[in-house]
Amino acid sequence: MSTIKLETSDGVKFTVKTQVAKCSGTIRTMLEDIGINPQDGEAIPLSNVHSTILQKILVWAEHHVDDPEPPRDDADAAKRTDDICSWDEDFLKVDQRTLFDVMLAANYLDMKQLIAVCCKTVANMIKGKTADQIRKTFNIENDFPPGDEDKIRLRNQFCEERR
Amino acid sequence: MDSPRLCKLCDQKPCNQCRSAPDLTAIVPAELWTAIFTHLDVAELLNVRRTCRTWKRVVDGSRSLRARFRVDFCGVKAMDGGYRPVVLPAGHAELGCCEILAVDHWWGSFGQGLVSLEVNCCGVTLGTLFGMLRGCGSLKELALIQVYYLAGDEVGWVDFRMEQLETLALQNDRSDERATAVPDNLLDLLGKVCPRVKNLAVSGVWNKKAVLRMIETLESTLEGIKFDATNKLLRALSMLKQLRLRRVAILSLTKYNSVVFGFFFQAQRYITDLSVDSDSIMFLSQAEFRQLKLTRLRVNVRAYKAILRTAQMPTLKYLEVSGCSDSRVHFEHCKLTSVEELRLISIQPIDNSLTDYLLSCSGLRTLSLGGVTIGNGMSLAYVCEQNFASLRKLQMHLLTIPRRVLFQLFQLCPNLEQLELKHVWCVNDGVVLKLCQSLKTLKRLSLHCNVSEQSVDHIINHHGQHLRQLDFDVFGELSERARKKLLDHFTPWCQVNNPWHSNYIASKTLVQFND
Repeated sequence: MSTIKLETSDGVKFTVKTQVAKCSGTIRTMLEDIGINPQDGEAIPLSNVHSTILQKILVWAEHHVDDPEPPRDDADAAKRTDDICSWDEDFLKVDQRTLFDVMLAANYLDMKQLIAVCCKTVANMIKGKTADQIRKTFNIENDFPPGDEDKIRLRNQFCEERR
Repeated sequence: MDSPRLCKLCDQKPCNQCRSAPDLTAIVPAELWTAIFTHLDVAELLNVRRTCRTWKRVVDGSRSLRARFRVDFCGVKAMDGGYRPVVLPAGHAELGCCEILAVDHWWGSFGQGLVSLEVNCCGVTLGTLFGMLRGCGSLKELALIQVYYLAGDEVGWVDFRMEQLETLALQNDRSDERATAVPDNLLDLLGKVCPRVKNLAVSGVWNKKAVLRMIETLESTLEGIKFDATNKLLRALSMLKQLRLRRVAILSLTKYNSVVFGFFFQAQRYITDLSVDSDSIMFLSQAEFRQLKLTRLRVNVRAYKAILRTAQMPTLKYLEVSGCSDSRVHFEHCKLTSVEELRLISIQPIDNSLTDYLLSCSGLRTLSLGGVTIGNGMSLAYVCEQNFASLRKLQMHLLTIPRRVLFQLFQLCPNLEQLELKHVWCVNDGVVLKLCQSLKTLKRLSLHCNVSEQSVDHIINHHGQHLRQLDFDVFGELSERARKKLLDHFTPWCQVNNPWHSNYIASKTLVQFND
């Protein structure tokens, strides 16, 4: 089975099955379109990904390597978040920093399925919380000028969900 | 150099833990936030929008997220020069019960973002109306319901087009006297402004010749119409060579004429979605009906009593029968046995004719009953076990049904995955226990009935493991203890919603067209 080498931002080299590496759209494009030849033994540099995160992502890719393409769905409607498989659920039971690092790396590597499952996990962290609770959860500063917030709250009363 | 900031979490002197945490809103790109927010509902989106400026920009900047907001202007008396609303950028707007006099000073950027606009029971001059429409270049859906037209600025011609507009609904009936006088040239003007309309709903006092002229203008793009039919109009539409309709709803009819109907439906044989009312119900047993390939059929029974006598239609997947406050409907002669989804709204099925009909539908997956009265005469006792094996989803809203029949139904649907019980009067803790015992494959349960906290225990004991979603709401307050119990027993992915929000199945509007 063919393998390729990947090099992370902190200089760690990984030897990975080509098929697993191709879960990443970015790497797939490099191999197929740009014509980087993995046989040369040169490592593909992944300058935006740290080794600890790549290691984690490779575990995910290994597990999902044979997954079929997901069906396309309606972009405008609110999507479900209760359909995360239990393996992914356990996989993403990590601290918040790691979760976001995995999501950002997945974005850089163009791994749509992993991005989707990270997004759902973050969405579940937002669901059911007030703005204050959300700020606490993600350590976000309330940068609205004082007095502004009430105005928005009032405006929101005009809104109702479209059926 | 940044001056040391107060800790965001504890509001005190800089603390190391908080300082080292990165500003997520800055390092995560907007497109990922958008992808995350796509999973939220409107209430949650509004909370997100209030969290910080970056997220507000993300939400307001995303067309698909913004499109979920609906701004409702109902409650405003007059929109004149002094009216200055602060509105959030929305995709949908409804203006109701007011006089629209001058909106130019705030409509600009708001109108540009709109994809759907409904003007309901408002007074407006033609000049102001077309001025507003000129600023709505992205509009896909426009509804003018019971709008009355004020004297002043006449409009003789228009110099703009709404190329995106696909759905246009116009309703002016006699229930409001102000709305009975409509400008002669309005339909002609709208026909010019909206050249690509696919769905047209026009009902009420409109001049039939003007309606025909409008349909002729839109002949090549039109796919769906809802209208008050006359035999003259049907005959004229049969002659239009380019008209190829997919969806037709006959809202009312002056007098049923089988020859005219036969002629019209032979000309329009590509219809897949049909709505008829009591006056045109006879068409369902006519030979030309059999030649259609319908997938969806709606029957609106306005009469006190109706017999649903139909020919066979093997392509039909969806059937809706609606009435007005308990119209009695007889299903004995209904041969629409291929349906996968059956929706009954505000009717009273006669005795066991519904039972027999249900038994003949072997592929039924979804059954929705809203405002339906099931009489004491109905029994499922003679139905063999597992007769509704194909049924996956059962919705019951505002239902009157003997408890005995409900128990029987639970036992007959062994594969039910989704159950909604909302305002079903006979449901008590005993019914919840029974459903927990009978329905072993349930994945989603929505319960909004007069039950106590005992039901919480029943659900947890029987279904704590399998349920993927629970919407639970009691009449009155749910105690903290019960709430905690629910949250403890269900995984974080299982939503425990309170209060209930789901589509109200009995609602239907003129604007809605189904594909």
